[in-house]
Amino acid sequence: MRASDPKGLRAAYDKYGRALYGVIVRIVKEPGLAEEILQDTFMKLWTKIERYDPDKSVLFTWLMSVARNSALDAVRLKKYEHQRKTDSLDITVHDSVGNADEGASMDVSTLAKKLDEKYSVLLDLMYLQGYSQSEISDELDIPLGTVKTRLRSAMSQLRDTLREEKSLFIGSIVIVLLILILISI
Amino acid sequence: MTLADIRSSGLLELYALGQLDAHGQAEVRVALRQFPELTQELREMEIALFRYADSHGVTPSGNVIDNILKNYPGGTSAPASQPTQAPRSLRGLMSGLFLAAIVGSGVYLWQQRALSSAVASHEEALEECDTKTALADARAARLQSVFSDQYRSIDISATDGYAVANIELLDDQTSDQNYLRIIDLPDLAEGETFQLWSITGDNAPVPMDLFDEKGDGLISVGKVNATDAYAISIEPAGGSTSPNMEKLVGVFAMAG
Repeated sequence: MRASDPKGLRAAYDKYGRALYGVIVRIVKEPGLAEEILQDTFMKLWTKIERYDPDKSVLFTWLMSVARNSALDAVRLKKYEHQRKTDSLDITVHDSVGNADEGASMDVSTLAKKLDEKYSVLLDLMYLQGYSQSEISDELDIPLGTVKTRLRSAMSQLRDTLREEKSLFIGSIVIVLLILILISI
Repeated sequence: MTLADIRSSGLLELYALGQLDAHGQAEVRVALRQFPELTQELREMEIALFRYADSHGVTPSGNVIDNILKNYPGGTSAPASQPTQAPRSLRGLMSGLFLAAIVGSGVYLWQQRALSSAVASHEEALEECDTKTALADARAARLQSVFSDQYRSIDISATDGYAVANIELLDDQTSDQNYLRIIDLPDLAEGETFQLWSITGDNAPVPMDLFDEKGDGLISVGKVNATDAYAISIEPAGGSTSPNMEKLVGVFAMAG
């Protein structure tokens, strides 16, 4: 692919941009700053790409790591940490939407809804907001060991849910095809 | 650790979540090399987490991608990807595939589990394809930029013991990073790495980047403004705080 035709970058942005921005804006809680960090994250695809090893992770994991670390650094830099930690857990969805630009939208799919609440809260805090395990333990007032155990269960349930959705999707396609066959006969 | 130990430790989950420190990450990478079957599990976790993050995604303003493309070397804009009309022969092929899919639908019902796995593999292949496209794109852009006028090229003065070293330092006049263009490197022994140093006046050399292989021939490294020279030495894996002068590969003189 020619350097003057950065379709690869565009494709990566189209595929991962929303997910990354959702995490960044949750952490920094400021759409303008979040967009700057998102922009920097994709620029690092060019400037720091040699640090990415496809054998170690998929591209999204690497981009997520860059985005989240940049967002957490920005929060520390601006001393927003205290404010962030004292906010209600409920702000995770509503505040970020409320603060986002007019065109911003959020779609919590059935994938997330199917998770037990205790697991989705954990994943929201850790994966979407960058909390450490000990911070979650303090925030939710549960032992660190429970955090670890729930985390494994959350990941397992998330994978199972994804598999079920795929099976359901394939099953639906098969049923539609069979109906088409019956109609054509 | 055994395979069961790794699975029950939760380390793989924390690795996918980006919650491990350097030591933990190294531990997981050793396990991934030792038990290749873990890689598939890790990929499943990563894809599940991507889906989770995507389901909570927020759409940024359209300015972001415009700014990225504006600043991307060689790129001013790129149209949003649009579906293309398949050629007639391809449409014929697709129709054939469609019929084949109908015939095979009965088998589908009985092999749902196997198909789920196939879909997962397909998604993994797509991820890999995206990754490779982005890598190739980035490398091409990097090469284009490196061979532009914004770089000053300095050849290494290799020491006697490492005359094989053939490396160019590309000094970027406009940013905070340089590149090493590596044509040839001396061999490293097990547990050794190359380390870059910055040397300024009589001050102690400042340790910089580590690298242990040629890669694609172009390595991004840090930059120290107004340094007198950069040097490369061979150090134990993980790097050193002061250079091993007995294994000094060469020097890039920056003065002039």
